[in-house]
Amino acid sequence: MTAVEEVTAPAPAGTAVPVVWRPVPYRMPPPPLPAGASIAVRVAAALAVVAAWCALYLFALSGLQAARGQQVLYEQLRVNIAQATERIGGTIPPGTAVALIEAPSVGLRYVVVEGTAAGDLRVGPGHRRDTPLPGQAGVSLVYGRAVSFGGPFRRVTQLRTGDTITVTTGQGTFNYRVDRVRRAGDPVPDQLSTGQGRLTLVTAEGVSWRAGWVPNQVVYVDSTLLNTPVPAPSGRPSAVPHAEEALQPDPGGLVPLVLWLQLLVLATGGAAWAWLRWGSAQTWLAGLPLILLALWGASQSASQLLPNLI
Amino acid sequence: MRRHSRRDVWAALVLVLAVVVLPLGGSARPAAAATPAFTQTKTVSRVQLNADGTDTVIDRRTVTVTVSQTANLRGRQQIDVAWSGARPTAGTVADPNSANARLQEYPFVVMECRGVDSTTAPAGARLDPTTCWTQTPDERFAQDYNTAFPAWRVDRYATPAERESMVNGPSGADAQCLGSAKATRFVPFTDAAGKRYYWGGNGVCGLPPEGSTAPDPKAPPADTAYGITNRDGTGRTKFAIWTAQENTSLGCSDTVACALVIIPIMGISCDVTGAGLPAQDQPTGDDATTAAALCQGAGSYNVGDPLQQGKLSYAAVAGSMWWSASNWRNRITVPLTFAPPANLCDVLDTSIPVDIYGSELMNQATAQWAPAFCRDSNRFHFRHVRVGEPQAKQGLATGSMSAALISRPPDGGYTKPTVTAPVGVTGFAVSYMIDDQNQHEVAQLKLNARLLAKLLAESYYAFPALHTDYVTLADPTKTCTFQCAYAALKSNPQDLIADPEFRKLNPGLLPGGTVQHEAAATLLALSGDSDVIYALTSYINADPDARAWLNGKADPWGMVVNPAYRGMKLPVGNWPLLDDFRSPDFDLSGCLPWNTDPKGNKTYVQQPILPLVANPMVSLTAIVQAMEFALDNTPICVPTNNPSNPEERLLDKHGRQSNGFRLMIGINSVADANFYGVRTASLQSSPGNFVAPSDASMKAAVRLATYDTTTGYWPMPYAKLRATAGAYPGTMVVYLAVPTTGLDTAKDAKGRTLASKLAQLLAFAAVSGQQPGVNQGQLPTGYLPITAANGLALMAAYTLLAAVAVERQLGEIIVPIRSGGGASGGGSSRGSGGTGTGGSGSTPNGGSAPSLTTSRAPDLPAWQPGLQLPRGYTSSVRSPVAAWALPVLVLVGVLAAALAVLVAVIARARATASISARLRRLAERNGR
Repeated sequence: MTAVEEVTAPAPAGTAVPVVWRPVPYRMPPPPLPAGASIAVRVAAALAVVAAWCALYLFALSGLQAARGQQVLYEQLRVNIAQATERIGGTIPPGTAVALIEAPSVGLRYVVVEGTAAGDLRVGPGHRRDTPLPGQAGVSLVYGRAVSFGGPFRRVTQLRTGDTITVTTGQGTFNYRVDRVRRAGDPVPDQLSTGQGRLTLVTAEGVSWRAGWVPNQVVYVDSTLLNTPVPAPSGRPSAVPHAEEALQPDPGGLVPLVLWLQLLVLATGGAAWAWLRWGSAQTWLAGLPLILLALWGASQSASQLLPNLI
Repeated sequence: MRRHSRRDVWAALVLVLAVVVLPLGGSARPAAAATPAFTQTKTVSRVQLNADGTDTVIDRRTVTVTVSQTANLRGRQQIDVAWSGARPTAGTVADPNSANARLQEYPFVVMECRGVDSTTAPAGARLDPTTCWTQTPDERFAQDYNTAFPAWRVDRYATPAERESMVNGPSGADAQCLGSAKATRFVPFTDAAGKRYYWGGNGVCGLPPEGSTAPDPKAPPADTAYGITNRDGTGRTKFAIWTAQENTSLGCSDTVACALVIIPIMGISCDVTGAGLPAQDQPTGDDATTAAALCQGAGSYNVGDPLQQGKLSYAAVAGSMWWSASNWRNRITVPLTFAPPANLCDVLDTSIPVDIYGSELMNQATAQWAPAFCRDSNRFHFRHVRVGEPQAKQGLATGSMSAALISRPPDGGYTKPTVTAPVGVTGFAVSYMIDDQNQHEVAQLKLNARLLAKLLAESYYAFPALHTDYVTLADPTKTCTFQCAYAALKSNPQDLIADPEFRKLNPGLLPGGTVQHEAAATLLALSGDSDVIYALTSYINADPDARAWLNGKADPWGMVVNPAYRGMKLPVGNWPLLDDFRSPDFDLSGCLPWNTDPKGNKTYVQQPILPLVANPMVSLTAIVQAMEFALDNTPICVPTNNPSNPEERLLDKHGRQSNGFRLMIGINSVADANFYGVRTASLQSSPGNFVAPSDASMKAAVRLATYDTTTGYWPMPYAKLRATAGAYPGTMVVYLAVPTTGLDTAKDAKGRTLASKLAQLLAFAAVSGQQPGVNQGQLPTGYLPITAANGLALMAAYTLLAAVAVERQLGEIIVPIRSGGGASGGGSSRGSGGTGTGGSGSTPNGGSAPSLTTSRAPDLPAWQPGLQLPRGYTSSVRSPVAAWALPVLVLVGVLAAALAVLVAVIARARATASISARLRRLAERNGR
């Protein structure tokens, strides 16, 4: 279409190396997209970015957050046990570190918090509040996520009969022997007689194409207490809210989600305004942290609306 | 081919078995109450010996006594003692078992004594007053500080030794025990081991462990009855039998003979002269006058007068003189024999028993069956562990239990091939203990399903304060904001007695006195999961009136259901306590907790009241005890008498209701009610017909049940029951469910497996266990024998076949050869389906007996999602959100990204194309 000719320009004075102009094929600039298509592409791209962010958050970033939470909880637990101020019964506020659970054969080492709502399980495994604490007589339930927030219980289904689970609470260290991994349709274990204890780990798993990334059915790991149970102070809650049962979402995340989204909208609007008034570099500098913060907060609240064991 | 031949073998076997079954139970069952086990007539008298040696007959009566049962008695069993011709009682008390009852004049004393009443019996085994049980010291100790010659010292029939001023005093006892009265009489008690207890005033000389000085008014009553004789000379009392397990000191058992000693108190036959006695034992002068005044009188009360505070009864004719020779010679002795104790089997056979779990309805049957098993070396030691039927089914499903007594197979079916073999036809009973306005026990009570629903559904307000709250809620001048639904209860009656429907059914029944019982507002029921509650609620559900009322329709008198129960789905195995009305201020007279904030302000912690009134119990055994002794389970607020806090109060149960003012209604089993002598209500069968539990009415009901091939048992057809006038609606069949595969194959010391033992039990329950009687191994009253004579040949045949299938452990189940009509319960006297098998057509129902066979159970299908699993298995908890949230997110992301790229590429290509076209057109125009 257009003639291409080779031009060698005279070298400007004072430069050692002459500028060599190299001919390149001319590419016509892409014509602007029509308005409708442009909007469609932007919407679809935004959707893809949001989905990618969600997946990134669930599978990677939430793990970072949980790892950081575990650090803090471990410090708390360590100090509380050392000072003998660790709670061993009664009504324990949700989110308090109550135990350290270890299963070396599957590389499990986590601080267990009180409470099993989706929000509580963001930092690690949670102990169901209407059951006795590990080490005490009775069946103690510990819930853990399978994939998100680091997936603390990702590998508990690989526990084998006879494996050891060690739990450290304010009352000492207790050893449990794994009985079996129990799925829907398996017989429930016999009722405990007086003076026996059991620890049942509860998580979720997916089968066939869901295996490993979409856990959707509850699986249990029963283990029997090998030590003599320690006494349990009274005053435990006799029931838990629906949100603390297996695979239940926590509607409590709705309000913070709305607030975080408001912040996100404000931050985005502010960034747009700044882009026009300040320029791009300044906007990146000031707006990005704010937007990331709002996005992170919104994601973490939204994750509460998902079932608690995934 | 092989299968066919096996079927033929079975059919032949069943024919043989049917012949075995048929002759049994041919005789009609004697009704327990109609023919008493013991009757005796005796002439009793009070004859005064005058100074001149002549006799004066003061009173002479011919007394006839009947006792309902005297053989094979078991602990706590209540028997009926009735009499006629006795002298009417004066100065009566409400509770003939209380310690005060001894003060009545001319009571009819019934007591349990150890030994044989014979002068030829060896000294240690002879019955006399020292082997008779009384609960308190005052019933066997007398002393007088005023005169040296009280009535008992001038008893003409007493031996000279018994007429001394100190009789039977413990040798070497201290002054506190002996006292300083002018006349003292000890009647020591000799326990089964031979140790003597002297009791003394307030028990200072020593009590046996079972004795007490002040019996707990809330505990079951003492076991000495001072029965009240009516004006016409008749009377009746219930007597609870105590064996060595209830009272070791008395020690009655199957090896230690005991007797019921019945003493119609006639008063002391006086001899104020004392001729021939040592001088110090002869009253003279003033003493003689006092002795005559104290002994020869007829009493200080008139017949029918109640005992009054401060008015002494006349000692010479009081019940406390039962041990005096004059009264003792008038005794009627009823020898008793006892069944082996309940722990016999554990003593005899220390091997680990075979545990049969489940239904409390079989309590009485297994109690009579178990000794027949453990005493027979060819049988084995089994133990009936009483748990709720659903729990037993769960145990069966998990394999932790091998045999379960149930009334209904589990909802989802069994988890392995199992036979459901009928072993008992019995039922639930609504029992009661109500005293009428004359303070006599009400002998007949009619109830219908709607009344039961009202009692269960917490729809009587029980406490007037709650009624006030309901009325306040309904006040049209105030806007109701909270618990408004409960305003509907404002026109409900306070309790059953106040309910016009109840009054219409039971005209003339008015409860005793003005005592208000919260217990009249509820039905004492089971707190746990039970097939009994399932049957009861099925009966209620099948009644259109009761159902409509539960659905919210008011009864003709305007009573409505508690809104918490409105529309409740029935039947249920566990009756929930749903009332949640919290009164703003009624705190049960200060017993419900108040919160105190740091400033000292108190706020009432509101909580529902009516569930406290319902207060169900854990077992039928507990309920029958409560019914037997009218132990009220409803709440009462009592001061704790804490000196440091006089305001302190404690929520307690009412405990034993006073005799004459009792009002209790509860759920029992028919057999327990019979055994413990608890009265049972007649329940409405078809409209207007009320049926009490009996062999005949249970027979009429169970004949309506047909074998259901899908569920494999005989469900009670409650709709049909409503159309049959004489059928008792509480009838239930109890089955022994045993798996026919997978039982423990370990052999015990005798080389027997669990399967062979359970098969033996089933075969026993099918034939010899169905013989009525009170002996070991027989079927107690309260169970309808499963025999061909009762139209239950099919059930008996099923159980026999089940025994074979259990023994073989091949995973067989028992199915009818022909489905449909041939599987009917054999109830039709024409022999439904009549297979025409030779000769059997002549016997009723014989034709239907061979219509059963065992068959290989189909392999159980693998568990599938969505299938309701029986309890005992891990249920499937899944979440659709968890299943689809992430995949949808990823899918949306990928699709959106693809769409964005696609749209961009296509739109760009189209734009490029259109620009090229325009350029081409421009070039063409320029070229021209």
